[in-house]
Amino acid sequence: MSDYDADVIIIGSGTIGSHVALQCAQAGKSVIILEAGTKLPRWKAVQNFHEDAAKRNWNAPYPRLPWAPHSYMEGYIEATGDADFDYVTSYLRVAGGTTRHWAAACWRLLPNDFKLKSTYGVGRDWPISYDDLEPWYVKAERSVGVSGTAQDDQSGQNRGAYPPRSQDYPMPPEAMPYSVQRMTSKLTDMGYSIAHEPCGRASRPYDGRPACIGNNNCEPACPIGAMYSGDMTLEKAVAAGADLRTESVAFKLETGEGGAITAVHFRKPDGSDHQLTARRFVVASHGLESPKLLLMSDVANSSDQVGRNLMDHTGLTFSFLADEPLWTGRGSVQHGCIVNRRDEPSRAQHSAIRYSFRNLVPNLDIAPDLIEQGLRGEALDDAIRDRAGRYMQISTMSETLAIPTNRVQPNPDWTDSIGLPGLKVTYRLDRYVRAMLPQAQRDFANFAQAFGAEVLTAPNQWRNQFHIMGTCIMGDDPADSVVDKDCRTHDHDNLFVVTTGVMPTSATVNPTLTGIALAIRAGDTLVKEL
Amino acid sequence: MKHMRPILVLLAALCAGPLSAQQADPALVAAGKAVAVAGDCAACHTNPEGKGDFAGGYGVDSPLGTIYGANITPSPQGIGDWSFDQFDTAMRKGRAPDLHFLYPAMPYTAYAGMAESDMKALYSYLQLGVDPSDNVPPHTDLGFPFSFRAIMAGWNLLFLNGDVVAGANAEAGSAARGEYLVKTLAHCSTCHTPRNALMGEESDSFLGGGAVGEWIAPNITAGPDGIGDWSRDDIARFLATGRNAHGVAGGEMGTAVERSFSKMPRSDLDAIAAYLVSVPAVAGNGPVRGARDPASIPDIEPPLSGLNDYIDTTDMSGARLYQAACATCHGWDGMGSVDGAHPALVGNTAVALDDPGNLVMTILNGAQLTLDPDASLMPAFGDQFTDAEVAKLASYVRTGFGAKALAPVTQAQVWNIRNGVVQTGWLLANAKALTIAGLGLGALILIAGLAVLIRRRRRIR
Repeated sequence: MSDYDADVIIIGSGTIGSHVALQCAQAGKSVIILEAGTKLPRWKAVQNFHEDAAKRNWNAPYPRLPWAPHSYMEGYIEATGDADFDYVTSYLRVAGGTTRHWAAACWRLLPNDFKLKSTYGVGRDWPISYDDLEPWYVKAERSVGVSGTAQDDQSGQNRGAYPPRSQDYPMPPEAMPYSVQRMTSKLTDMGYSIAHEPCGRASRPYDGRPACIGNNNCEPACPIGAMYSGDMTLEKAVAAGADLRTESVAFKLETGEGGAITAVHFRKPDGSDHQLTARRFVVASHGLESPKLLLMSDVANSSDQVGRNLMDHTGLTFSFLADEPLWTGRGSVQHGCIVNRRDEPSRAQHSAIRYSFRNLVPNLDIAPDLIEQGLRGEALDDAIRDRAGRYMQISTMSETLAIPTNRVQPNPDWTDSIGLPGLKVTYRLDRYVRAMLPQAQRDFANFAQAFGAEVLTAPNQWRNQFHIMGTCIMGDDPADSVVDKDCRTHDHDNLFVVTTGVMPTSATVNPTLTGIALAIRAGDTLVKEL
Repeated sequence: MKHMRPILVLLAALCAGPLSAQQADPALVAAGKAVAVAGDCAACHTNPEGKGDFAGGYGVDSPLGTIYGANITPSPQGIGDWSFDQFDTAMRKGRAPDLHFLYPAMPYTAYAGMAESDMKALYSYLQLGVDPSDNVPPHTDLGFPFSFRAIMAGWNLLFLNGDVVAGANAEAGSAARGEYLVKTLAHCSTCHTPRNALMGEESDSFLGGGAVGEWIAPNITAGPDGIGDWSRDDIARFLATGRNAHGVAGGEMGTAVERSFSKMPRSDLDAIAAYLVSVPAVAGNGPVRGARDPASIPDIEPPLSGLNDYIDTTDMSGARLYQAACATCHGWDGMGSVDGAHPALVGNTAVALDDPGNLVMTILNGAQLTLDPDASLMPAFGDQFTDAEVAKLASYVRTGFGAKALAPVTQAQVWNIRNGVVQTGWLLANAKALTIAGLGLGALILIAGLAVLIRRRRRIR
């Protein structure tokens, strides 16, 4: 019999932890998954959404647990930002993780995103290249079930089908929504390149999932399970033998002789403490929670980089009424975007930008103002109908750089119901991201001109996109990074950290697919050495 | 006898090998492949590890143990040494060349009616058109008394009718051709005809409805309890795609559609339809009709204050479970989507059968056939619901969209269905004692029962 409770203990049951768990369990390794939150079936999230009044709060339909607070629970995250910017982020603590309420954008990084420093002289380089990760992207796209267009040039730089792919997307995209057709038709002539957004939403029956039927409710919950969410991989991992233990909040990793991690200590909602041992430990608890656990345990931090280098796609949002109906809200909540500022030479001076079109049914965005203006009855209905048809919202996904002073730490001044600390975040916008402003304003002005826009929200308020990167940064040098190219901590041979927090560059795209590709790659490493 | 078998096989391999190939006709191979599809041989003779459609090893679970499909490829481990006569005897009389009796999980009572020409074609295909595999399927061992295969001889005397069914070469699409297919290759009556006390098919209730494990094989006669309101096109569409306005094929029928019916020529599906609309009506084993009892809006939508910790599910009524999990596709009123991609529950056979097996199995495992490009699939809800929740949900669906008169589903019923506990009855449960007491007839009945109670577990994770 083994001297350990498990071959691998994975802390966090989100899509990343579940992918590592699935691989290890399928290879016959014993796996325990610790999850702070509870299980919640999809239908229950849908019911909560139906019955909760907060329709634009993506966290609202998910459990509010005093022992595992999520990002919107009062006091849990104490953030310091800038005068013109409040740091806000959104994530869940629930079995399956925050992909329970994502929009399923499944982008690959571009090759240059892996070598920002050597190409543009700013930020950092990854210790691996796009080519290294490419086969793992393929596996990630298959696991998630991504629909996409392999022919697109996702860099918008006339590079042909780009980035290079060894295999096509597993599914073709859905039909292009009318709003994206109109955007394409008007903006292409102005020099903008519009690409389909690859998306983890089934466009035909896939892996036991029905095809998307356009509920336009990806966030906060796909009511039919057409969109991928982490609980799907978690279910597979459990079926393959992984032992899921919910309501188990890891709070300390214990170090033994030679620097190896020997045990994880976790606390139950009743306050009782427990511990488990394993050959390998994987921290996969989200980009803010993972560094919090490492810092609370005082492990993996000889570089003093744990929790630092926090990045997001902090940017600007522009909403307007077009002079023609665009009818957003048909199909998936995001479908197309402008890609040609993703990889331009100006990256040496300021943020790269991707402009993302929101494709939500906008009634909820426009009705409150109209009511406030005193409209009632038929006049209100007519105004909603008119404006909902013409509404468009465009946001920048702006690249930010890894800056050590942007950081997350445990906050001992606030504790949850079992005495564990909250989070303290310091996140300021540097010149690199602020310097994109003139470019963004020129582009927004072009969009406004093309659509005869009546401006609703001017693009002057900075906001996050809840894409967390950098906090457990990956690199070759143990002096300035937390994990190596395999997501193994420099300080502890048997401790892996797998989260989008390892990403050394933020690029301009949603990081989840990259995180899953890294997870599958780390799972492969674990299986080989166990 | 068990110990002699390998020696017999070895002798057969040495002596009979070349003989068999000479009896097969290369010109018949293509025709034989179509016969194999129509007979759905691959359903049971496939290899679960991907060694081929006919390499054997697929486990057919029965309440008494697992029966493994044989290797029927042209290898010494398969039927490569069998002469045509030996093959013919196995197919029509349930006896393999070494004189051992097949269990009636192999539907030889239906294949007995095959035309000589089809039998020769099938033999030619299996000998010449299939790659040999040396796979040795696991040994089927059902334990005493069922291991004593010879008692099948008595049952065969009672229930094996060896008459060939006419119509094999009748006009394409004709009812005569349909009758031949239904009664022989498609072996519809194996599941859809009720069994008598000795587990033989009740000839006067032909296609009047039967059971396969947890699944109900409904009445498919041309009457009010059967499919009297299905048009010929409805029937052919169901066979081709597993769907029509009346329901979706699940369980064994889903497998049959996927592997067999959907690959048959449309003229044969039309023929089956033409015949089925003429099958004399039999009462019972069909959907229960009558007034429905849909939930009122207050039952469905409690006040917003109903949410507590966003986790608690104890007070969820069947109606609210339905609204949360099902209504997005099937509609709050159970009418499905207007384009038909998501089936209506009102008028759906599985919803309104007296036995809730098909409804509960569909909730647990979903409906995963994707042959119809215009249709969606239903994901499995087995991991999303407790047994108590499935019971509440199924009860609501039955009375709300089926008929008020349908009995509620209990948590215990759901547990049994989820865990594959089939009601085996007193005889099967007491088989060993009865046999030891010398009740040979009892054992005979029990063996025959296997034909009815076979249960192929198709859990889709």
